[in-house]
Amino acid sequence: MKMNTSIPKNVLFDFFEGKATSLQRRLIEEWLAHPENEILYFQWLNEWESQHPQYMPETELALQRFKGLMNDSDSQTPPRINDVSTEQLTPTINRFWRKWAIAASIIFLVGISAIFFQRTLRYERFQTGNAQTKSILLSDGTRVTLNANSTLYVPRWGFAKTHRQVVLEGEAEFVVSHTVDHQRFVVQTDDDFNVEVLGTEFVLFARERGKKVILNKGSVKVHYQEGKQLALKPGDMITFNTLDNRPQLQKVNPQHVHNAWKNHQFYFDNTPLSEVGEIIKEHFGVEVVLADTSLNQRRLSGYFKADTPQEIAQIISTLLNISIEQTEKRLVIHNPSSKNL
Amino acid sequence: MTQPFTPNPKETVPEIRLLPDEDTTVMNQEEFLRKLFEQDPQKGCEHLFRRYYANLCNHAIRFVYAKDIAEEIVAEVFANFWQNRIFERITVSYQAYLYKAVRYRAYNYLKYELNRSADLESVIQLSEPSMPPDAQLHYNELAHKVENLIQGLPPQSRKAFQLNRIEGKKYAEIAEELDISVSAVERLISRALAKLRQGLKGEWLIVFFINLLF
Repeated sequence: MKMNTSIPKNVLFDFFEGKATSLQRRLIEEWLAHPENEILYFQWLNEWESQHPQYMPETELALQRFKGLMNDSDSQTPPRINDVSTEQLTPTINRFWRKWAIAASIIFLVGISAIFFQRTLRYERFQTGNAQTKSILLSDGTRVTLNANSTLYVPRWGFAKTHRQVVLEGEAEFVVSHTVDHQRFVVQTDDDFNVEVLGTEFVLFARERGKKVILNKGSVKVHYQEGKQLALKPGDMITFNTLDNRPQLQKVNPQHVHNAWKNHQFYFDNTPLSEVGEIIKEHFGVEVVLADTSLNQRRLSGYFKADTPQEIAQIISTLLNISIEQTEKRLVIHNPSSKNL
Repeated sequence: MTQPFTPNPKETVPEIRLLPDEDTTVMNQEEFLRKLFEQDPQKGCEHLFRRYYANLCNHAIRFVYAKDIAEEIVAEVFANFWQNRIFERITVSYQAYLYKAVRYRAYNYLKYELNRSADLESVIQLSEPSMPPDAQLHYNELAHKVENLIQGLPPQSRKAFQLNRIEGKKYAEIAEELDISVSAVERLISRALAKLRQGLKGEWLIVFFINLLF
């Protein structure tokens, strides 16, 4: 066993400063190999940080937020599904774990039923139908623009003290105002999926075929299944497919096209016809049928304005040289060649 | 318009910096904290937060070089500490845990930011890794590397980068301040990021492979 030599504090401080020699580094390395020295290492690191501040963080403000979070997870205020599950550290199973797992599932169930039974009572509902968009100004100055066939739930009696929360089904653009006390703004979708921000601009898409978040400005955190989360930067688009629910990150540019729907415009970028069909269905509520599997391969690009399903059908048929049959609730797309045969 | 992340210079220095931190008091500190957590975990968390928040943010910023991200990281560490009752499992030192957790998250963030095409799953899986003894030293060296790379940027590029990341200014504001066009600001910042990415790639792998080996 090697002796546990002590090390002068100033040598470690030099190292923190990046001024230690390679011999000194070796010395520190050997010293730190004794686990009991780790405590002192971090203590000195903390002391060094105190003496070399780079800026003055606002501890009090941040502490208020942290206190809010602690009080929040005590009670059962708005159902935040992933309150209880974040990363596990070393998987030591102790007696607390079981107890907390049970408590967690109870909170989870309470949360779930709260969503279903209390939503109508506690939340005011804003809804759009086919081909409609709607702009809503919330009490905190945040502006939400709903795309067609979407619903936004806003707390009827104002936001909670600790954070602002709304629920979205469908697609919407959020321009979130930054509050003086840095309150978080959380958009919850129906599943184990929410987006959390301070003040920023983003588009959230949460429909049957998947989820999508496009960030224009600021930063957002996306929580998805079992406490996993991702941080986005401006220009990021993250897509979750309903099938595998794995995140896919893309850079989008230019960003503004993803809220083209605000002006009843459609933006396609080499988009497969099947997806174009989904978008038309989401927007106008008409079923789109591809009569021929070869049509799945066709793709569409461009920026179109259309107020009715007929208009968009016309554009597509002209561009791709295909024929489209319209009934009241359906658009059937044919390949002209196969029809002619 | 409020500037969210600009510190107020007139504000009093946080209490934490005034506390004595002598070697002899550290064990008493830990003892005191353990008692506090037994009696009232919430008070314990509050105490730790007050005491370490500013220093941890200052530590995190050495890696991520952005105020809001550094603060976010520290806030997450505390949230996790509370929500998963990590404090019940601390046997050695609360302080050591907090620093390690902040470093690890900062490291993951950097890895994610510098390697956008990386498998997202592996980046988000935030389990505490088992580290080699000198892994903690690698963190210090990584922070130095970041600092050196930033010091080594061309002055204009560094200025734009710092205004954006540290002061949280928008491109348009930076353009006005430096009297250049917005697209020039964009170029300066993306050049700075590219330099960082390039400079840290090698560094990164060293740390990363060590993690794999142990």
